[in-house]
This record gives sequence, C-alpha cells and structure tokens, in this order.
Amino acid sequence: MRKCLSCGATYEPVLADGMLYFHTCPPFSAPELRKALDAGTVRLTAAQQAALDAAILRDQDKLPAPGTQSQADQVFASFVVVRPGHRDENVDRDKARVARDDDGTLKRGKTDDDVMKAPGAGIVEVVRP
Amino acid sequence: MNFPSLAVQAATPLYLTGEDAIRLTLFNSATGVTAALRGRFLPAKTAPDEQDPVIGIFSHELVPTTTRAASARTEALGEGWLLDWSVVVTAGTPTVGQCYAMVEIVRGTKGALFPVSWLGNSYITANKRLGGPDPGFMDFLDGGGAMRSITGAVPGAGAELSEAVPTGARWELLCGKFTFTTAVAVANRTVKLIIDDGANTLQQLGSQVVQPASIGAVYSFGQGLPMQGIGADSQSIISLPNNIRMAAGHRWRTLTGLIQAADQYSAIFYLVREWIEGA
Repeated sequence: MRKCLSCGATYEPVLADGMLYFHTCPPFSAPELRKALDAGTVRLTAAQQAALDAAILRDQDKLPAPGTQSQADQVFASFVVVRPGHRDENVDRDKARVARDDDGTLKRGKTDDDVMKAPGAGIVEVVRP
Repeated sequence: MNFPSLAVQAATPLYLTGEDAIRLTLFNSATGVTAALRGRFLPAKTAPDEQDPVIGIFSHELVPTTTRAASARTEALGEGWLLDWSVVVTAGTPTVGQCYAMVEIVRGTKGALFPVSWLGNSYITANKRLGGPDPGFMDFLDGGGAMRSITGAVPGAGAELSEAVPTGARWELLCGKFTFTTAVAVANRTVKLIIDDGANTLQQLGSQVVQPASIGAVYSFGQGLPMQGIGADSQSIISLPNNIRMAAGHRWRTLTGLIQAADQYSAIFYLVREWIEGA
C-alpha cells in the first residue's frame, strides 16, 4: 500500500482485478484551503475573492439560520484549488511519446515518474492497516 | 502443399511489396496480456529459376503496456500475398473493454511510418479474435465495456475524496459506496457528490440532510436510485443520473459542507463500466 506525500491519501497501486490504480490528489477541502491561505502557500484568484466577498455581504444582509451553512462557507467550500505539488499518476501522453519505445516499453533510464503527469512530493510504502 | 504463385486466387488480393509491413497496435489496460499477430503469407516468385514459393505462417507477439497507451509492433513480410491474418490473445484474460487491437498495412518498419491500408480493429479476448480477410470492425466505445470494481484512495483526515478517470479510459459510473466518519467537533456536515471535468463542476448531487458530529455514516450512490437521507441505520443514498459517461481526467468527488479537519472518508468502493478511448 502507498501513501501519497502530497495529500496523505493511502491506496493500492494495483487493484484486486490486477489493473493499475492511478492516484490523483483531490483539490483542497475547505479546512485545508483555509490552512494553506493562512500559510500563504496558495492565493485565491480575483474571481474567487470577488465571489467570496459578495457572499459575505449577502450573509451580512441576511444572517444564516442557526445550524445552517453561511453563504460564504458554501462559496468557500466550492472553490476548486489544486494543492501545490499535487501528485497525478496518470500518464502524460506527450511525456510518454518521448520516454517510451514504439512497443510501449520505457526507454533505458526512464521510470514511471518520467511519464506521469505530476510526481508531486512522491510516495512511501506503508503497511496496510 | 505448393502453389504456383501466379495461379493463386487469394480471398483478398493483399499484395505487399517488399517495402510494406504489417502493423499491430494494442491499447490495453489488463495485466499479463500477450497478443500475437498471426497469419499466412505467400511469398512472390521473384526470379524464373526460383523454386515455387510455399505458403508460410507468421506469428509476432506483442506484450502491451497496461496504461491504455498504444503499443505497436511492425513486421515486414517481404514481397507476396497476405492470405489471412488474426490477432490472438496468447496470455492473460482481458475482457471486452480492456484490450483493443488494430491491424494495418504501413510503408516502412522504423521511424515515421506511412499508413497505407486499414485491415481491422476490435477488442480482443481469450475467446474473441480479430481476423481477416473479413474482420468485424468494433469501435473503441462499442460494446458493453469492462466491468470494474475499484477500491478508491482513502484521503487524509479532513480531505475530500476524489477519484479520477485514468488517461485513455472512458467510464460509466454505475454505483458505489463510501463511509464518512465525523469527528467530535460540533458542526452539521452535508455530503454532496460532484461530477467534474477536472476543473469545472458538471453536476452536484447530494442528500439534503445533515450529518452531525461523531457519526459514521455509509453513503451509497447509484444510477436511478431514490434519494434518501441518513436514517436510523446511518445509511444515506445519493441518486446518480443514468448513463453518466466520464472522459479521461473527469472526476467524481465529494464536497462536504462544514467538513472538519479530523473528519474522515474511508471504505471507498465503486463500480464502473470502462472502455478505452483510443485517443
């Protein structure tokens, strides 16, 4: 079993049916995004900031009912922000064309990392819980 | 048995010059697959004092990658007539939707090849061959696809779950289930299921009910199921649209209102029908 060092996800690289599993990091969840913004590792786009500001104003006009999510929280949670150094194990066709021979085998000195879309921070092998 | 080459009437007059070659291309996702391009070839008699040629058999094996990318083998047969051919799975047990074969005549064997004639294309299995002179043509997205039961990645605590369609695949998302366990932090979470194209949300589906703190709830989703909030048995159902097709890079993921840093998604299993896109 592998653990992704970019997002902390754990997964089997080969599934029970023998097929390969290509892990892709999820976009930030709301608490992760909030933490990353506080740390200054990501920034909202101008459009996202504008949407958030507008939602905050709407919340000020009409307070959310107790126990419900504010409009600002809803808008914030809907942002799709890719984590910096994210991992995407899927094959990049352009990289693969360079790194593979005609029969599909990797050229000498090339590894799977050379053909994946984004190796990110890498992985470690972990024991299945 | 000897045939005088000039008298042979092949089922298909596939005359090959010495510069032509036959090329097998496989797009495959299953492990342990080997396929062979086999056939019968009658060489041309190139000089009057030459012995009459005899029909020979050729067999060229190819072990494709499992990444759904093209793997190819090109072989020159010499000058003569291609009488018939077939692509046979010699190892592995790919199902329909997992190993796609294309056979063509090209000019040259190395470098930039010049495609000349198309012979056939289809998914192949241990019991389903592709062969000519009268091959069936089956497109990449034809047929019932491969049924795949997938175990998803368990995200880190406080992260959303996200599953992406691999490069080269086309999915129909049929059904699945996951567990969402809320931590002690007080907040009413809402779980929605998002279908996106890797960037833009295409559909947002979800239960209208909330999941409070310290609950482990099982969410099931499937095509045409009725929507159902979390009941006393901590089960919830999310309805998927029918025939929902997803291209490579598209994702299904969760969007959790008021998700807390110690909340945890786990036990993620889903069923898809998969084809190879062949792009």
